Amino acid sequence: MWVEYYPTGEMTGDFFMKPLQGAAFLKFQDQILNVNKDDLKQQQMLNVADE
Amino acid sequence: VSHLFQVNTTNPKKLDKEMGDMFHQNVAKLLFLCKWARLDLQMAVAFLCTRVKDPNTDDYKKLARAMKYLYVTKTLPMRLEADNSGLVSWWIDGSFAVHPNMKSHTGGTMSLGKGSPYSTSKCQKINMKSSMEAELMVVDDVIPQIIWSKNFLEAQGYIVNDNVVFRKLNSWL
Repeated sequence: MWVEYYPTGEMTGDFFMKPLQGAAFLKFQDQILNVNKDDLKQQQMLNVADE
Repeated sequence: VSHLFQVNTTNPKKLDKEMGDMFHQNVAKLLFLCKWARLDLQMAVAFLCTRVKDPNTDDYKKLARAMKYLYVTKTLPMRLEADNSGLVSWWIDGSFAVHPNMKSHTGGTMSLGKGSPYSTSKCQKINMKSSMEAELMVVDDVIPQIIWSKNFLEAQGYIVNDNVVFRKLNSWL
């Protein structure tokens, strides 16, 4: 095992230890769930349909 | 969002027995969900779990917000992919004294390529005197899982060449 430095803006662990919002939240959400643009489009269309 | 860890201690309106039970039940349901498919809810649920004994209306609003988020993102999938590098990556970090009892919070996640098969978000068990100590406590919290995951993956026939832990605190390195 080894330890490496990782910059704050890229630290995925931040998602689980402090409340994020906006672009940072979406960025890490995409990384953790590994969602793609099609998934997000489908969800947006469903939300519009619900409204 | 930024006031997630803030608790109203000056003039809290406590939930009655019926609402309190409902709050507890829904947090338990979210707890199940956030460990399986909705890791993005894990930190909010970790906080709500600390409030089930004595919830107030502010906590209820936070639960409602989590439920709304879940509703508008209900079709989001979770995809896990493993590459052939044999490298298990861990990102771990902590925030100092964010809880009302001045305890710190541990957060960490692992990846075998894409997606996150395991992640953790929890309040630390003991109080720390500095952010430096909190960071060390994060390692203490997560290291057993790092070792266990390596052993588990090897027992499943997956070749683990090494673990890499990503940190952002230079002084810890």
